[in-house]
Amino acid sequence: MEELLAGILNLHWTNLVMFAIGGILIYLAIAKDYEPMLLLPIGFGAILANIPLSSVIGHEGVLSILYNAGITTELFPVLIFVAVGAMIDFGPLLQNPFMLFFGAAAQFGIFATMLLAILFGFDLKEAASIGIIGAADGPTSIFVATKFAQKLLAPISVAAYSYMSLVPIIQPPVIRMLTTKKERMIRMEAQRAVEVPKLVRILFPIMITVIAGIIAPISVALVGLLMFGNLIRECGVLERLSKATQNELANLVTLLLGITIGSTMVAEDFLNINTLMIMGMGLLAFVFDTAGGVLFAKFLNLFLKKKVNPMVGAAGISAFPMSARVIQRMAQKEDPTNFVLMQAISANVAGQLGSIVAGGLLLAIVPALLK
Amino acid sequence: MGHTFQLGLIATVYGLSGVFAVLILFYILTKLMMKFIK
Repeated sequence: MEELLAGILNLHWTNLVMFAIGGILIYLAIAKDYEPMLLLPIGFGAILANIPLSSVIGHEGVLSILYNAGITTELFPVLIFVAVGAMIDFGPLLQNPFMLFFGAAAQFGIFATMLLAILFGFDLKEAASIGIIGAADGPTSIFVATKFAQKLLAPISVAAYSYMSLVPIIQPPVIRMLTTKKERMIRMEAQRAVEVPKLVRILFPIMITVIAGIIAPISVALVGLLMFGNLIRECGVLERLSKATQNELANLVTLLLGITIGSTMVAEDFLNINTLMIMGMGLLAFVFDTAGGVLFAKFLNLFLKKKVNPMVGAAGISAFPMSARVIQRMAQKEDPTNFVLMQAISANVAGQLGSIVAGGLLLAIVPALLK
Repeated sequence: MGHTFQLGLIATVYGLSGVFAVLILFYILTKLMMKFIK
């Protein structure tokens, strides 16, 4: 009889809290449309893993097998990079490479948050994994956390994807606080519609891979496979592969990645003060990113003849295309005839590049410092 | 924690300057490619 009631007898209040957290993630995914591709599987995975004596986790549990095969080996995040690479159009950035600078400045949040995490008592590897939430790039956060702090993978992933979908709420108040109305009304010269030669589109991912790989060989899995996906997209002869990568591969791996990460959210590992701190610092990482981009643009304006609308600096984060849209909406709110969308999109694409470069550099620097 | 914070500061200086350096390199190469490849 006791065996029949084993599930009920082993039910603890913490399991119920985790059911509620899983339910909230599912609610946010369905009702609020917050990154549903990831948050829904993560939420359901959390519920599955917290059913007492659940057969999906443990030695022979299917989700534990997936975890060992896909997360511990870094296979899932790396496959996601191929898919993301196939989805990125570097065209706007190639037309306006100046925006690369904002893609660098808006990575400030990664490093500021890393320092903050150290002050809160995390070790350097854990702090770097928490800081990388500021990359505003889910796969990069997962990849770095898998390498440096697998124990923190679940809260880091939840924070990264939650805040990415909250960019329209997080960025505007920070931007308004750091800029004057006059600055927000700055008009930027219309971006010329330069045709990007096909050869440049093909050479770009190869060049990035080689340079980033030589500078930080450990980043090759990260940068190289993202650029491999991009090369498939741009080469012009692999249309079917490009579509399969953008759709079937992306969908399948996202599904497995989400539910597998969710399965790591077991109550005894997740319900602690660290999770709360990571959620808080993740939010700050996005705030610091936004501030870094805006302040850098204001700094450049001290020297530039043709001023940059400082809001564009905030689009240098990786959350594409949400951030660019937020900036355009804010610009039009101040002046309905002001169009900064193209510049913001260029900065946003630069942010996608900047975030993986920052992730790759952290992967190289942190172990070197700890030697 | 003091030592870890020092390492964190070094990682920040290397990391941020590294990101800028790499992206400046990309900027120069992209400019060159866009100028010379038609």
